[in-house]
Amino acid sequence: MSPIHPALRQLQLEAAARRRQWIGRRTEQGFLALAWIALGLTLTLAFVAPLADGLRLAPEHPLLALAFGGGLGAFLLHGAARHDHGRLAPAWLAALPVSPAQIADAQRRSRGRRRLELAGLYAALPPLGLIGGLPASTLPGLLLLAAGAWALAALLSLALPSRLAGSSSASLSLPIATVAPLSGAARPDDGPLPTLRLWQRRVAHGQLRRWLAWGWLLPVGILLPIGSGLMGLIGLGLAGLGLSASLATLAQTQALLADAHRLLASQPLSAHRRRDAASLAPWRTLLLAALAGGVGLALLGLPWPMAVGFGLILASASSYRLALSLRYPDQPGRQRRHALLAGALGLLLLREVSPLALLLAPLAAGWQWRQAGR
Amino acid sequence: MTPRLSIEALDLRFGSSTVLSGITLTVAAGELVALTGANGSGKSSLLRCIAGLWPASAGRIRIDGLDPLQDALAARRRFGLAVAPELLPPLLSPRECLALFAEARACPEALAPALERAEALRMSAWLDTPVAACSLGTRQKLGILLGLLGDPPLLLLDEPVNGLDPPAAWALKQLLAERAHAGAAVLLATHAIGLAERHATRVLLLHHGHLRRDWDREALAVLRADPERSLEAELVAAMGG
Repeated sequence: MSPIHPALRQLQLEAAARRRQWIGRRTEQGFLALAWIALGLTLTLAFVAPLADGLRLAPEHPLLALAFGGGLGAFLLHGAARHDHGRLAPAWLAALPVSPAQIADAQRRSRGRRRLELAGLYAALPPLGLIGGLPASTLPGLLLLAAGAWALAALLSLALPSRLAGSSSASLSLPIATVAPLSGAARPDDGPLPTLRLWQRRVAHGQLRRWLAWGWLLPVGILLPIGSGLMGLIGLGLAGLGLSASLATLAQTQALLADAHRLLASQPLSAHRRRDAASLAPWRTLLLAALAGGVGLALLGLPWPMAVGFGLILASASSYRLALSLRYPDQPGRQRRHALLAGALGLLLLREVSPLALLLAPLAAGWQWRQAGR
Repeated sequence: MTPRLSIEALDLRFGSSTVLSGITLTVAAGELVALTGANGSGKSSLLRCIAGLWPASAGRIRIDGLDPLQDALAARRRFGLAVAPELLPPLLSPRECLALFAEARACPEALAPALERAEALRMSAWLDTPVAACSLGTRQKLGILLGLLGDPPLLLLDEPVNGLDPPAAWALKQLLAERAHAGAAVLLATHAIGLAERHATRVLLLHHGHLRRDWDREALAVLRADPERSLEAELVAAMGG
């Protein structure tokens, strides 16, 4: 039996180190896990309910539902395979003599793990949907989608193993770096640090190309015509666009601010000048995304006050998260903890105290904003 | 006259691990000081403390009389720290990186001289190439140019000749000597014994977080004049090798 692929061994050792770290801080990690679960359930409640009509009608169009589920499954598996490919070909191991048997073994393990994860996800969907407020009548639709997704993903992973589950043997052992040509130039009217803005634009363009993550919207979106009209489809598109754009902008800004902080750490650059230079563009995108999200939900049939409330929450939450990235650029763990606790507390206040607690969200974001400039 | 850099009884600890202990040091205008020592002896840590990137556990640092933590902005205008190649943004070109630093230091007029220095370091051909496509040596040159931008009175460099081709290394040594001659103080951490022996005005040995030896201008002149002795042999002996 050939030894395990060195990249897999690396992943195993890293996972063991993370487990030890987790156990060492189990109280804090356990608390965070509970907060995640609370947040997940609340978000499920908010986002799954609008799909109820489509899901209830899905069993009447079984082939369509299976196909959409399959598309979703194939998309998820493809994304996971791309991710695995990156993880299985770290540059520092590239020159090691890895045998074809080791590569095949690594691909097999990677595929198996991903199938298991998908199966777990689909198994969790129906109970999550029910907990999230979906009526029991939608259960057959959910199961149909899950079955389609699982079947097509498994079929595709068997039929196209090299493309879907980690690319070819050669590229697993020899990663090739590609460098995109430089685009655009700094504009003098781009705030206090125009070249930082140029850097942000280039990262944003790269992120846009990776926004294929929107693919998950397609199968869900096509479900809607089963239950609602064109406005519903546009609404879901806008809501998904708003959410995706917010998440992508926040991820991109967080990574860029960490890099910029390390690069410019020894420069005479005050916190408020750095904040003003780095925040304008992402903040504009986040506000537009929140607007799109709110309008989208209104078109989906949500009452206008609730849609406005959602837009306000999204704008405040993403501004809060952005301010955290500006305040603690080199401490991603601290950013996550703050954001998670603030999110859980906010949702708790909103649900248990009063919808007026919503007004606290912009205030909290503004406070973090001020702190980020100190 | 206020020294460019003065350090008194500096300690740096991480938990129970002591990285630097009791470092006392002054660097005057016109000095080119080479900081040597074994791997892990604390050279880079000392530079990071001086730059205010890591707060010292005890002791005092002054740059032109300014505290790099209390008067961070004013102190940071008084020094330049060469940037490590791995920190450079892959999506910008070297010219854009220089522009970014000129903006951050609020001295746009420093860009033109920096581009002239790029010519001296033989990297003009790479100025408009993405950093991601530049060789390690080119990124190293860019990191040095970023540290030199705006001609700060104190220069801090960590292994500056790593990865440089011989003509660029030679040009860098001339450049540092010129800056020292013009009144700047240069403190560089290095394992390049040739650079320390021939170009430094002073050599310090850092050993297990302590300053163990200090070869001043006179001691170095004696070493240079005696073909039977070398800085390398003295360093190895002082490190217990």
